[in-house]
Amino acid sequence: MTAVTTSLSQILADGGATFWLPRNASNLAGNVDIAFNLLLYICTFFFMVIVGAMTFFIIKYRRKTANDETPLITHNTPLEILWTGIPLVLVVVFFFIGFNGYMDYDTPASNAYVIGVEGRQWNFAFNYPNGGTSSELYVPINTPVKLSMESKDVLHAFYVPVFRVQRNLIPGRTTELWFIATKHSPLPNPKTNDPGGFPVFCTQYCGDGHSKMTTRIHVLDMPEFEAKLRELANPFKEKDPAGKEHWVPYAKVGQKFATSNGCFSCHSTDGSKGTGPTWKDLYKSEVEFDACNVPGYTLKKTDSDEKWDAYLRESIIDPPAKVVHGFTPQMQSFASVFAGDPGSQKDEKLRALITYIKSVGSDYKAPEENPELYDASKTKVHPESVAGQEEAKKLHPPESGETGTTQPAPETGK
Amino acid sequence: MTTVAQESHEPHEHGNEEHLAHHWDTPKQQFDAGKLGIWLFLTTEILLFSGLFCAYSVYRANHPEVFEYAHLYLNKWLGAVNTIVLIFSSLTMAWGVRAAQLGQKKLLVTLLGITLACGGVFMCVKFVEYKDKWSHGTLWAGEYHPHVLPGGVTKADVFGPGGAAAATPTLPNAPATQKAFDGPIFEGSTVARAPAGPAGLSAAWVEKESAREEHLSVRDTERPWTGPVPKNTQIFFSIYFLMTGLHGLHVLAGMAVIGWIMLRASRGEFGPKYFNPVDFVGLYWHVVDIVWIFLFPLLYLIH
Amino acid sequence: MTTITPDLAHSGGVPVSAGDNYLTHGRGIASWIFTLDHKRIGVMYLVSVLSAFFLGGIFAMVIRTQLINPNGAIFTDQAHFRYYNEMFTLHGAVMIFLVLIPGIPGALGNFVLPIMLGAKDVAFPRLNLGSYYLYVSGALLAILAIVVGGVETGWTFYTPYSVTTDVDKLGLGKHAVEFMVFGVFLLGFSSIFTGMNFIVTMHKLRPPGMTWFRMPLFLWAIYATSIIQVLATPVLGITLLLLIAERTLKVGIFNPAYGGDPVLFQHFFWFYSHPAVYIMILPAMGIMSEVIATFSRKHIFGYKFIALSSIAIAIIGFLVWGHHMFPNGQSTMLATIFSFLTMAVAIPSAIKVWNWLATMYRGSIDLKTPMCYAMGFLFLFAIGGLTGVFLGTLSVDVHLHDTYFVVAHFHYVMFGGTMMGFLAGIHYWWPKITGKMYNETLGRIGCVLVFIGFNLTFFPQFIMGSHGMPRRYATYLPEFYPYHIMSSMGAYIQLIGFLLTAAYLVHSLFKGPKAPRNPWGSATLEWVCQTPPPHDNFKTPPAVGDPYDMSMLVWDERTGGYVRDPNRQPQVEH
Repeated sequence: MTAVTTSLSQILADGGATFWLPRNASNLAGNVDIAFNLLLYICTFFFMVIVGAMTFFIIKYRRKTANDETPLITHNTPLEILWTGIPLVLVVVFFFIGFNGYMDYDTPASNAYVIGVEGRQWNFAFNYPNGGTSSELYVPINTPVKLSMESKDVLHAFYVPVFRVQRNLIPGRTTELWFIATKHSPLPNPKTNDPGGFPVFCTQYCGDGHSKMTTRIHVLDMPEFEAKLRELANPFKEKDPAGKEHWVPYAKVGQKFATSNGCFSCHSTDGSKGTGPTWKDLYKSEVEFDACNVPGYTLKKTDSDEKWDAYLRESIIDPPAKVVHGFTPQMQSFASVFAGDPGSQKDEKLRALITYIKSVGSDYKAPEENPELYDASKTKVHPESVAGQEEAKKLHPPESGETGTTQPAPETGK
Repeated sequence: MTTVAQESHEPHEHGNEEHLAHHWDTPKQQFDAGKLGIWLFLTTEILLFSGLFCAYSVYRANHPEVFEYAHLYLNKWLGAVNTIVLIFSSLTMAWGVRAAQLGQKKLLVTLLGITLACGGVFMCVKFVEYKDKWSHGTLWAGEYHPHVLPGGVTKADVFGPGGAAAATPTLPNAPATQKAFDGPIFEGSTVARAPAGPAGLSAAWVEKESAREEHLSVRDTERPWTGPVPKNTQIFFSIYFLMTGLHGLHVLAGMAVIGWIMLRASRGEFGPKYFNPVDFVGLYWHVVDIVWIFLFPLLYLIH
Repeated sequence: MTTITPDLAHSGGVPVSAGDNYLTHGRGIASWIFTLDHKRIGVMYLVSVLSAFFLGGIFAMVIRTQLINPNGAIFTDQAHFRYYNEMFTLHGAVMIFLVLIPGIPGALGNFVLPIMLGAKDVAFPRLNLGSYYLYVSGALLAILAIVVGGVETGWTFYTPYSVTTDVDKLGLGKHAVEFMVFGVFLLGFSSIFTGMNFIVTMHKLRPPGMTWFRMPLFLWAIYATSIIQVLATPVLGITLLLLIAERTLKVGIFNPAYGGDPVLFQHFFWFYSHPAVYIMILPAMGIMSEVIATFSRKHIFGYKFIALSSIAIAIIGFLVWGHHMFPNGQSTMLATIFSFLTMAVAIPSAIKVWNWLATMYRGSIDLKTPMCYAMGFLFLFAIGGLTGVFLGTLSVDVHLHDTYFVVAHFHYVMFGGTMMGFLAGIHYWWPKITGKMYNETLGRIGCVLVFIGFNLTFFPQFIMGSHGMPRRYATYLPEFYPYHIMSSMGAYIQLIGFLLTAAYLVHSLFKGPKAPRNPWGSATLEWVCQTPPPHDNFKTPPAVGDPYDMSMLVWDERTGGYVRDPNRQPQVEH
C-alpha cells in the first residue's frame, strides 16, 4: 500500500501534471492538451448519454409480462438526422484541431539547433554539433531543437511524454523530430539515484532490451547547456569539486563510452549472461570461438597484451569476425563511433574503452589509473597534435582549455 | 406439407442429378452459385498479386534508374514467346469449355491436353530464364552477386585485361579520416594505437566492406548502358523473382487442376447438363494468363 | 408461389420425431471429422475457438502477473525478457487469428446463417469443412512455432526486426517465425473461404420471399464481414509470403540492408489488419441487433440504416489503415487523409448505437444473460469507440501512439465489443445449438464478474497511457505502479468470471433442462426449426415474414418457450 501512495504522490508532485496528462513542457504540448481535454469532455458527455439512456430504459421499460406489447417504431427522420449530423460536425472539428497540431509537429523551425540521434539496440546516442556525444539528451530551454534521427539496426522510436511528441527511427532513413522545451527539468540527485530530467522512452518494439531502451532529457539554461557541450566534447577532462580540470583515467572514461554506446545492454559487468559475453574477468581468460575468420585462432590467458588488444579492438570494429562460443553474431559494427586514425579522438576513445574492458573484474592495473599521473603538470601531450607541437616549443603544461576542433556555436534561434 | 423428392438417396439420372448437391433446387442454381464462388476466389487471387504490383510501383517510382538498368538483363524475346504461348492456351481452354457444353468429349480432352502442353512450354521457358540468371549471379537481393553486365558484357570487357583495380572501392560507412586529436591526451595508456590504414581499419575489414559494394563503370558508349551502375539493382531482381515465381506457382497449380479435369473428361463426366468444373477452371486459367499479360510489359518492356 | 406453412404444427414444442437432430444423425468420430453439415462444423469451430481463447488468456495472465512488479515479477533480467516478449506476441496472435477473426463467423455464423436464412446448408459444404481444417492446420503450425522456439516479434511482425531476429538460432528454432507466419497464412485462407461461402449462400440460397431487406441484421453483418474477408485477407497473404521469403531467401523487399523499405511492410500489413478489426466487430454488432430487439420485444429501429451502415463500415474501413502509422514515417499528406477518413468511419458505428438505444425505448426489456452481455457491449464499446476518436486525431495520436492508451482502446473494442458480442451470441443461441438451458443466475453473475474485472483491468491503462507508459514493456518506471497493480487485479477477477461461465455452460450440457423451441421469443427463422435442429434444417422452405415482428409470439407455459399464435396478425406500420 505504501508503494501505491508513494507513486501516487510522485505523480501529483510532478508539478503541472493532471489526472490524465503529465506536465506540459514543450511548445507542441499545448495543442495536444487542448485537443485531449476537449475530446475528454465531449466523449464523456456522449458516454453518459449512452449509458444513462441505457440504464434509464432498462429500469423504466422493464418487462412486465411475457406477452407485453410494444409500439412499432422503425424510424424518426429528424432524430436520425440529428444524431448523425452532430457527431459528424464534432469529428470534423476534432480533425481540424489535430491537423493543426500535426502540421506544427511536422514543420521544424528553420533555425532549429540540430542534434543527431542514433538508435541501436538498445540505447540512444546523441551527437552534438561540436563532436560531443552523450547517452542522455541535453537541450537548451526555449530554443528550437531538431533531432535528426537514424536507427542503426531495427525500428525504434523516440518519445518524450512531457513534450507530447514521438517519432520512429528507421534504418536506412533519417527522420526528424523538433520541439521547443519550455520548462526546466528536475535536477539529478545522486544521493537518491534520481537521474533527473524528463523520461524518454523507445516506443517501437525492438527486442529483448526494448523496456530498457529509455533515457532522460535535461532542459538547461543556455549557459549551462553550452558548458555541458564543452564537457561532452572532451570527455577526457573533468572538473573536480574545486573547479580544477584534470584528466580522467582511461578506465573511467572508457566506462563513460560504454554507457553512452549502450554496451551494457548486452554485456554485463557482474558475470551474468546477456546477449553478449560478460566483461567480468574477460581479459586474459580462456576464450573459445564458434566462428572465426582466422582458422586455428585461439585466445588464452597467456597470450600477449598486443594480441588481446587487437582482439578487443576487432571485436568492436568488426564483431562478426570472431564469435564467442555460446553467442550469436548479433552485434553491429561500431566503426562509425570508434574507428579513427592513430591519434584521433575516435581512436583515443577506443583505447579508453578497451582499457575499461580490461579492467572489469580482473586484477588488471592500468598505469593510467595511477592518480599521480593525473596531475596536469605531469600530463604529456601527443607529439603529433598541433598543441603537442606548440608544447614541444613552449615546454609549458597545457592550458585547461578547449579542444582544438572548432565547431559552430549552438544557435539560439527564436 | 409436401416433401420435394430431391433427396440424394434416390436413384439418379446420368449426368444431371448425380452432380446436384442436396441443398440446391436446380442445376442452374448450383451452376450460378459456383460461378459466383469462382469469381470471388479469382478476386482474391488478383488481390494477392496486387501486393506485388504495389511493391513494384513503389520501388519503380522511387528508383526508376534501377528498373531501367536491370531489366536489360532480361531476354524480351523469351518473354514474348511465353506471352504468346499463354494467350494461345487461353484460346484452347475457352474452346474446351465450349466443347464441354456441346458434349464433344474427344475434342474437349484434346484441347485440355494442348492447354496443358502450353503450360508446360511456359514453365520450360521459365526454367531456361531462371537458369540463365543463376549462372550470371543475378538472383534476388540476398544472393545477388552479378558477374556480368547486361547483354552478356563482362567485367573484363569493361576494365580490360588490367582487372577490376580500376574502380576504387569506397566503404559504405567509412568513418572520415580524422586529424590528430588536437588537444592534450594521456600518453601513458598501454593499449596499442590503431593500426595504419584508412581510418585505422585493417586491410581485411576494408576489403570485406568494399566487396559489398562494387562500383563498375561502363566507359564504352557502344554498350547498352553508360554511366555508373545504379545502387540497389538487386531489388529489381527480388521483385522479378517474386512476381514471376508466384505466377509460375499458379501456372503449375493450374496445370495440375487441368490434368485432373482432363482425367474426368476422359471418363465422360462432362456434358451439356454439367460442365461446371471445366468452366470454372477455364476462368482460373484466364486470370493466370491476364496476370502474365501485365507482368510481361512491366518487367521486360521498360523504356 | 403459394405460402407453404412452415413446420409450425409443432410449435407447441413437441418434436416431430423422437430426438433425431443434427447431433444424433450419424454417430462416431468419423461422422464428425468428415461431416459436411454446417451445424457440426460450427460446433467444431466453437470448441476450437473457445480453447484458443483460454490459451490466449493464459498468456494474458502471464503478462499481467509479470507487471505486478515494476522490475518484473516473473522475468527479472534482460536475458529473460524474451519470454515476456513471446507472451505478448502469442497473446495477440492467438487472440486475433484464432479467436476474434474466425470466432463469430466460424462458430456462430456457420451454425446460424443457413437456418436463419431458411436454407438447408451453405453454398459449398465441402469448402466449409476445408475452411475448418485450414483453421486447425494454422493453429497447429502456431503451436509448433511456440514449441520449437517461440516468436517474439509482436503480432504485427514489423520489419526489419521480424526479418533478422533468431535467424542465427540453431535447429528448428530459427524457423519459428516462419512456422507462425505460414500458420497465419493458412488461417487467412480459412477466413477467405468462409467469406466466399457466406456471400454465395446469401446471394443464391435465400428462400422465396426473403428479399435482401427482409434478412435479419445478423446476416447483413455477416455479409459485410465476408466482403472484407474476401477482399482484405489476400493482401495479408502476400505480405506473409513476402515475410517468409525475406527470412529464408533474403529477398530484401523490407530490409534496408538490401535496399528494401521497412515502412512498406507496415502499409501492406495494415491494409489488411485494419479491415480485419471490422471483420471482428461487424458480426458482434449483428448479434447486438438480434439480442437487443429480442430482449426488448420490439422491432429494431432503423433497419435499413443499420444494414447499410455495416456496408459503409466495410468500405470505409479499407481506406484508413495509415492511422496505425502516424509517427512512423509516412508523408504528412497521407497522414492527413487517413485521419480525416478515420473520423468518417466512426459515424456509422455511432449511428448503430443510437439505433439500438432507440430500439430499447418503450420496449419490454428482459435482462436475461444475453441481454446483460448486450448492455455490457453498449457500455464498453462506447468507451472503445470514443477513445478511437482520440487516436484518430493527429496531434493527440502523436502523444498516445504505442502507449497503453492504445492497448486499452483496442481491448475495449475487441474484447468489450467482439467478445461481449460473442458471449452474448453463445448464450443466445446456446439452447438452439445444444438443446439445453443454462443457469440464468450464474449467467448473470459471470457477466457481471467479467464486466467488472474488464473495466478494472483496462480503464487504468488509459490513464497510464496518456501519462506516457509505453506498450510492450516488461518493466516500467515506479510512477506507473498504481495503474499496473489495479490492472493486474482486474485480470484475476476476469479469470474467475470466465471460469464460472465455462463451468455452468459445460454443466448445462449434462444437467441442463431441455430447451424449448423458442425460449426468447424471437421472430427470426432459426427459432422456427426444431431444437436442436434436424440434419437438413427444414423439410420445406419456411415462410418469410418480418424478422423483427415478435407480436405474434406468445408465451407457452407448458414448454417454457414462445409459440406462434395463429390468431394474431403481423404488426403494421402506421
